[in-house]
Amino acid sequence: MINDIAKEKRRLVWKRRLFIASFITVPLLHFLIFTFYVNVDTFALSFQKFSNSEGRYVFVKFLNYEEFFKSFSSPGSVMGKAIVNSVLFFVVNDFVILPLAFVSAFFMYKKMPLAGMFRVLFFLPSIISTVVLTMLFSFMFDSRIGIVDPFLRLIGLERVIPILGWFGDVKTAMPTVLIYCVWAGVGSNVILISGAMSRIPTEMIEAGRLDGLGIFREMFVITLPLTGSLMATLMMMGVPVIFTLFLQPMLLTNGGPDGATYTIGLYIVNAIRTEGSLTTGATIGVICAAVGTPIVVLLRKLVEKVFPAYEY
Amino acid sequence: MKKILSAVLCLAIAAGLTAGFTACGNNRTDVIGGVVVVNNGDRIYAEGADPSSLSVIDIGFTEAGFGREWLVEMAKSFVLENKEYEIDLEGDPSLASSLKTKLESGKNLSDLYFPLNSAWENYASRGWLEPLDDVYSEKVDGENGKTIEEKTDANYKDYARYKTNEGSHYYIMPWNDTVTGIVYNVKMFGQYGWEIPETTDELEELCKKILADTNGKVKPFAYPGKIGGYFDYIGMTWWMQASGVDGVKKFFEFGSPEIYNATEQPAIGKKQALEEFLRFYAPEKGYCIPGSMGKDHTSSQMDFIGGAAAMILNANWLECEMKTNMSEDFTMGMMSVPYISTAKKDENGNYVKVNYTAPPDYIFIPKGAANKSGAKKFLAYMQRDDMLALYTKITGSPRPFGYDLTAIEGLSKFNDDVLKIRSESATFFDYSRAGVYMYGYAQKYIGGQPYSALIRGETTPLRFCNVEYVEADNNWDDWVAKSNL
Repeated sequence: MINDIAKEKRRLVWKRRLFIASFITVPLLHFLIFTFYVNVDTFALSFQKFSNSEGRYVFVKFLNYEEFFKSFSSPGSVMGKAIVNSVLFFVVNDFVILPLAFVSAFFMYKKMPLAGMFRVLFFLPSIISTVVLTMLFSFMFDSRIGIVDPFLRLIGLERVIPILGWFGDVKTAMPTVLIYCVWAGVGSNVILISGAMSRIPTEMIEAGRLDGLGIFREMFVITLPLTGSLMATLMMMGVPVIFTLFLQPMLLTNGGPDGATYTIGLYIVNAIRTEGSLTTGATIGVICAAVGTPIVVLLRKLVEKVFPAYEY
Repeated sequence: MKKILSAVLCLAIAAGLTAGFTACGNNRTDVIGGVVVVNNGDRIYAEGADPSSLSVIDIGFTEAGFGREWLVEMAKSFVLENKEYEIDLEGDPSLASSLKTKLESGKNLSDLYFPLNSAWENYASRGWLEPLDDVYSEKVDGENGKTIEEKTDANYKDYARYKTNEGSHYYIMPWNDTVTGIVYNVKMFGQYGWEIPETTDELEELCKKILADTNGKVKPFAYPGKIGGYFDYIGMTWWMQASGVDGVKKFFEFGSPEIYNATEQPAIGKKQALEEFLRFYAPEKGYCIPGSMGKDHTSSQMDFIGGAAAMILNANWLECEMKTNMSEDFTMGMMSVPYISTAKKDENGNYVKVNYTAPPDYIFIPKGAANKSGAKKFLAYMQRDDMLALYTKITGSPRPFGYDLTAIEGLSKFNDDVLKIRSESATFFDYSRAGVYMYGYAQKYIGGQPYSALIRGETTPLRFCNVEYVEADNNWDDWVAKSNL
């Protein structure tokens, strides 16, 4: 009898272990293949170079790293511009797009006139393919068929139209790409922040109203702190932009003119796609990870202090 | 009521989507001249053949400027003569960018690939490409005809051969023979009585005339500044005119850093070409459509066929690429790049005609292909005189093989111009087997193309050449050492 109970216990323990294992196996395999293996392989690749004579990758110690740092001083190098631009995209994402999205979401949340229409207008760019959207945006700024140049002429600002084109002039190319990012990037954040705002208890605001709370004070004293954890998450999500953003400049300017709109992400993509150099991509990837990890950790601590989580 | 309306609306949308997707999935089958063509080339086989018993040749090709009609027609002709085969076409506009991954994985490979220019030497050295020596040795025009090797243009023959661990073999077959030049609006030239310029002085006069005759409404040039490669069609040709084809070939041997020395040939010619470039493309000249620096090739080509510019730097594929956008009365022609003052002349005092043919597109068979024998048979078939002529008739483009271009009828004015330029010119395209070039250290232009920096006044031709020379001179030994991997 006791043996039977012990057997049954053992069977249940194994069943339980099997149950847990069946759930863990898939994410564990996923982690081992797509995170662990890929990262180890990338790291190993950064110390190799393809040998045309041997037809295989050979170990070259730190040659790829040496070439990467040397490339900063090479003629026509775009790496310096790529780093500055990438940081600029992060700054615009966290300190222009997010505040704009927050203010827009707040006014929609307060049901200002035409709030419904603006909700659709803001969200539309988020559901249209980036390829289509960048094409539409390029057409707007085209010197022959665009609407921007005629409008500027109409209001007497002809002199600000760049003769080489908005995307062809070094001075205007990057600001124009950033304007695109703001235009296309606000919408999705508005939807997320609106969702968080709609969960704020109305009693809290009504109580504030009784104490004479105005709309702007409500925005900064109640709404911002109570949606703070979402804002912190969105800010954190802006950090990888420094190392990964490439599609928008690639489609709008292809990194030009002369690297004026290059980003680190585009540099890696071009190194792999155009030049077929996996080892360059791997090397920059490892450097980005080494630089990016402390930045992420520091920023996380900072935003947690600025936006502490509130229970409500 | 609201719920019922919503339900009806949802059903209507669902029905519409289903109908749409069903329509997309429909196979259109045509039987033309004894050949079954499914979906304009997805499957091509002889009428009456049992599709389940056919040997399938799968072809992955770049479906871009030249379209697919030429390949469909060749495949139709092939399966009529070889009824045991079926040809399946898979068009992909950006085939070259996904090719490496496909070859590396070795899965779902096509039997024959037609990519645009890309680093095939890398694929060959990894053992991914099937040697094609046996195809090159075939006599496809009958026993009295030449072998494919004998028919192939000498420049391309050198380019197609590569030494790997397996030995020295032909690994690719050239696809297009690019012809570059200045494409012009024939009707506009006729309307205003503008003459085709022979020299750059005459070209500058023409630019001034175009602006004067049209009150500046028509600009002489449209250009795609976003894709700098098009500038080479004029820049490289001027360099070849000034330094000679042999001089530029010497440059591409990458023998020493002295090739960048702008006080000696061939770098003098390069500097002169860049100076000539500025003569026409500097913004203050006003010869180009404003804003062109930010345009891609499609936008600038639309500017050209829309009549905003009289000329554009382009190549033999332009008419085929833009035919769906062109009005019926639009006619384009191609002129040779006018000669610069330092252009070389022959012993009779005539200018030496040259044409820059740009890095070539090519055809290869992957080693892991399922039907290599079928692919080789079709590849050899493509090089028959009648198939080469068929290609030119449909695309208006020549292929780099010896065949009679004069017998091809029904070509457009543009095609005639292209073939004339090709037949009269010595050609060159950039490639080198020097280690410093193949590992990406020494390049045609160190630090990237100079054109847009020249247009913006950030550098001058002399400064650009001097920076190249200093960089090459300082690093040459290091580059050579690092290229001996």
